[in-house]
Amino acid sequence: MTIRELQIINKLGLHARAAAKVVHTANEFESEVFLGADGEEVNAKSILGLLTLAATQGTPLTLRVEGPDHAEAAAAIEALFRNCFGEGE
Amino acid sequence: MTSGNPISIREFILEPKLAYLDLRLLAGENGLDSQMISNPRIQKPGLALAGFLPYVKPGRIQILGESEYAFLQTLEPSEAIRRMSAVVQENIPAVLSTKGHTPPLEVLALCDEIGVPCIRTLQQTSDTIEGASAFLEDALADRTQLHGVLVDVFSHGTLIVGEPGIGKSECALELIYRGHRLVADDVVVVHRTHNHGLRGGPHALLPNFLELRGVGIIDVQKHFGMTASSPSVEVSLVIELVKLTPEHCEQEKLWHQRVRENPEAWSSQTTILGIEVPKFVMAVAPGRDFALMVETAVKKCLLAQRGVDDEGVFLDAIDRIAAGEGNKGT
Repeated sequence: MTIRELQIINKLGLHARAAAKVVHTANEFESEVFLGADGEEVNAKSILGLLTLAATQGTPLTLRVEGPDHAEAAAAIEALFRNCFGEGE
Repeated sequence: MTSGNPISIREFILEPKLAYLDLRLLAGENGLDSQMISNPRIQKPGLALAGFLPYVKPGRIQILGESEYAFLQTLEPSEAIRRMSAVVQENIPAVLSTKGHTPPLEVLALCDEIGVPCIRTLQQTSDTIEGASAFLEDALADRTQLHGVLVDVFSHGTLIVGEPGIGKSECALELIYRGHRLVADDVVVVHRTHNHGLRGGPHALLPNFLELRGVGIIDVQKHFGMTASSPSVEVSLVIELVKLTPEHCEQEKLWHQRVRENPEAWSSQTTILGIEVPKFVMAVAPGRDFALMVETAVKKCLLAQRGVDDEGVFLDAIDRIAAGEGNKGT
């Protein structure tokens, strides 16, 4: 299992397109991927749950990955956050 | 699992479920947002008015009813005011006065001064306690968020769980087509209610929405009409969809063994917030109509609730034949 603290650094927060990218990335791995904020955790492989986080810029999120490829999955999701979901800001 | 957030007195007064109490603020307006009810039980401060204060609990709303006022009548007015003032100063969130009684002006002035709202209703004490407790128990109840889809099937809240992509939402869509109602997709918020039940509803941001892979997010009310969804339902049954893997085949073998030993053990149980809920595990395989399977599982539960045990009757008959007691139906 891998647990990481992530920060949303892009201006628009975890918006719909960004959430879709997270879901897409999470689904490439076999492990279970969860993102939590404020004590509520949602499954990062499905978009509705992820959207309920309504996470804005600066919101700390906890990433929890469990499964055979947890390290790779955590690294991929973390890279996506660091890279502003591939949208530049 | 988390507990419900404390409720401010302003929220309590404006709560639509308590509209019949017609709560009016008499004093202590400055405490409306700062005073919080954190304990769902109400308290009647009879003993506290008699002078025994240690059991006045913080976070509990205090109800002054007919008996309290009758008792205070037996005291000198100045002593009655002193006793009431002592209760108001015991770190309580609010005073609720029933049957249209109003505390003396001196007490109301104190409420204003220390910011403890004093509220009045014209209703009887028993009705007030019942309504306020039921609302507070639900609002302050333990809650949890589960990943799954909740559908109201024949008024039986059916929670479909399983890993992402296994077909939970598709199963829900088929159930909606058959006239059942969607309660929540993906994120199901479950509260433990005051009568030891579990009430499930959607996340505040997601009512009526269903996500279908390959199609997108749909609003079921726009697609199917207003009867296609329901704001909440009692969670009565869990259906777990699993992939047909070697592990599952192994589990199924164990399950068959268990059923042989105890024929009533067709379904298992799962625990949500400390409450046991019957659970069926169904393996996803091509050609299986899950909506029909879910409907049938619900009907089985409904029959069981009415004391009808179809397989019990069947197995008993077999047992009797095996023991050489009955005929074979020829």
